[in-house]
Amino acid sequence: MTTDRGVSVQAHGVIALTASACTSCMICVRECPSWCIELESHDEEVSEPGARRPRTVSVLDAFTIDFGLCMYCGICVDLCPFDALAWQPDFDYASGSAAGLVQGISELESWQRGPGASTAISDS
Amino acid sequence: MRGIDPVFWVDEFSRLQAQGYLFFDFLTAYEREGEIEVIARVVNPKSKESELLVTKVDADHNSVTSISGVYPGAVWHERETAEMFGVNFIGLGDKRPLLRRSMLARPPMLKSSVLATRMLKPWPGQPSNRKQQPIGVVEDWLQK
Ligand code: SF4
Ligand code: SF4
Repeated sequence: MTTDRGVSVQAHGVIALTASACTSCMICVRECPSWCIELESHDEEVSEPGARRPRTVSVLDAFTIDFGLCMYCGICVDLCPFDALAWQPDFDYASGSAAGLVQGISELESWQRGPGASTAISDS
Repeated sequence: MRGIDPVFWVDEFSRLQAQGYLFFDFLTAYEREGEIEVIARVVNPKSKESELLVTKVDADHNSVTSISGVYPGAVWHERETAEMFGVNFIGLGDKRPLLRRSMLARPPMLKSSVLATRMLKPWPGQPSNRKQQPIGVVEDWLQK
């Protein structure tokens, strides 16, 4: 399967984040050989109706990948236990400065491919 | 992957080239158990077959014979391997470094070389409640 630009859909183009799936477990941050993922989170208590005690959940405050340092090895994507990271065959994020290659939650989430994704996929 | 005696390293590439392995793909090195090995791949564009050859770098002189006389394209790769691993390629004409501005510090790709960038930047994975050592980083390298 390729995109409309002839790129394999499995290409290591960009890493998309699904923030709602991320539990801030820090596994990707610790295993990244380039030290290019940074994450900040805080704990919050949520009370659910019927539950005896409130549950503590981790809330993601910041998540950045510096694509200027990333070597596209895929270790983070492979190791995330919650499938919060995924490769997408997109490459349109060149920047005129090194700082422009650092992407935060909103940019990383924007790469998620779903219905209505900007790049069409074909079977050829 | 085929291990080649360093004595026959260049001969083996000449032999493969004569057999139609005309495309030189890459050459680099790696460190395993304290020894450096040089690895290179050549391809036969007609049959699409490829050969991946490895040889040991002479430990006393840190040297191996250059294959750039057989495959001129290997010059770039041998220059890079020389500056990154400190390998001396005997017979390599162009020894200018590609990326490093100064050759005074130790070759950065050796496991025993301290990486300055690892000391400059704190490890983003450091837990707040205990001390943990990042994988593949020697303790002395870390910021105190
Ligand atoms: S692909 Fe590799 S280098 Fe890039 S962020 Fe993931 S683990 Fe780090
Ligand atoms: S490994 Fe996955 S769940 Fe854990 S912090 Fe990284 S993205 Fe979030």
